[in-house]
Amino acid sequence: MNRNSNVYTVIYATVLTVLVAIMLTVAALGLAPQQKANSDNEKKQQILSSISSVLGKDVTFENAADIWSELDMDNNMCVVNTKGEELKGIDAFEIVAKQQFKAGVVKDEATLPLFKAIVNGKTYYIMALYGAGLWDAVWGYLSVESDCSTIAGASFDHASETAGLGAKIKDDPSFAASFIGKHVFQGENFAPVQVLKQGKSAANGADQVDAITGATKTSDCVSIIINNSLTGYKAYLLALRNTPCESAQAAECAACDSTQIVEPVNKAE
Amino acid sequence: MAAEKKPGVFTGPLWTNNPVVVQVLGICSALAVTTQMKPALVMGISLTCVLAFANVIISLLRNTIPNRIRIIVQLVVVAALVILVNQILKAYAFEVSKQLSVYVGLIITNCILMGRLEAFALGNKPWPSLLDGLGNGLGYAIILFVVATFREFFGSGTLFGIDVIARFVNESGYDGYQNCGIFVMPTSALILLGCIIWYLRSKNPDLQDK
Repeated sequence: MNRNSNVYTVIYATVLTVLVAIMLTVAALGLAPQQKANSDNEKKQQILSSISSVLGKDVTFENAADIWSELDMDNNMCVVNTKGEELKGIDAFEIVAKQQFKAGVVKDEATLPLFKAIVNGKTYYIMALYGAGLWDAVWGYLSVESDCSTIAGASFDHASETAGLGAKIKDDPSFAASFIGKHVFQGENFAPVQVLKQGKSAANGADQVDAITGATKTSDCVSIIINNSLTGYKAYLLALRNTPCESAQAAECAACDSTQIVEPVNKAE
Repeated sequence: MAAEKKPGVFTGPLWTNNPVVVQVLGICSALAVTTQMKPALVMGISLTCVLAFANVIISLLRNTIPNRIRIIVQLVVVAALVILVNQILKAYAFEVSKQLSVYVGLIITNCILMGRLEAFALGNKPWPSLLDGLGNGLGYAIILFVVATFREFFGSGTLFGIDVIARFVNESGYDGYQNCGIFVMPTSALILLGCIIWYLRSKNPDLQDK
């Protein structure tokens, strides 16, 4: 057969393409469950990393699933909107943070995931952060204690910040750790912690953590991301702060039950 | 190159005819994935697998491939294999696949692959093609591994993620040690590659420009 004829070339290309397509489809479908499990596990690791100091141990890719089920996180998450209401019928874990933001600001109709971890009888609220870094997306999780203001920890990840500089938001554990003990509210004012160069101070009296040396832009972005992301949770956090836990929709809010004893103590502070 | 005997087909690319430091192919990924040893190793293994399989497949098909679309056929075979490798890594070596990120996909555009398929597999039987693929893949892997060893040791003070320098420093009680930041940046990979090429050429008079 003439290998250079048009007919041969077209048939050859068609057969090859179909064969390759079938092979790849089978592979993709076959491996999909395992891949989904991996990315779910990574998400659990990131969420739990924001309370790693409370847990007293590092959350790794390997132990994330165990800690997750230990804390019964599957039954301790809810979805809130920007008006501060809890929403029904949405799986908080499956929410894609990216879709809730437009141009770095929380959409009005956004549905935001809120994870409640109960460790040693204390409740920690874990909120999702998302926004633009210097080069690409930066996201993470921030946890607050039951007073809805004191930060218990944070975890960050990024798509492509500069290795050794901006990438330190993830690679240098001391950066995330520096958020511990800072506040989201100053008195009654919403003033989330800011990331600032040493020597500078926030105009609105917010707490501050030191920016990463040589990564001023990424640090600024983290500051903006925290402010913008928490703005979406602001109404919910305020409602939670101003509602004595007993009268809160305790049935709805599984986490409240176990905090009834702890909550008044924190309120008194 | 066409006159090479069988042993040379495999051992040649490992050192004297190394694809990275002699033919200077595949530099892009050599700079990008060598900050740590583990991704460098996985990248080396991945490329070796893809290259060996692609070489064999193209060699088997060599008498049927229409001449006018041979490059496209090579590309399809390589792309299919790379996607397969990427999917497998995502399923069974998730963290490594994250570190390698786009570079696994970029194996498709690695010059070593198209170079070997076009220059060797199209004109040789499957067995020598397999050896050629393995040889070139491992030649690439060795260089990546050597560069990554230096970069991880001096840049992060670790080997395979194990804290080597910090441990030593802690024992000796000296706490002023700083890792050398430039080894984390791609610049250092270029400098290290340059040093390897320098060494190789000084040992091999054949390679020196007349």
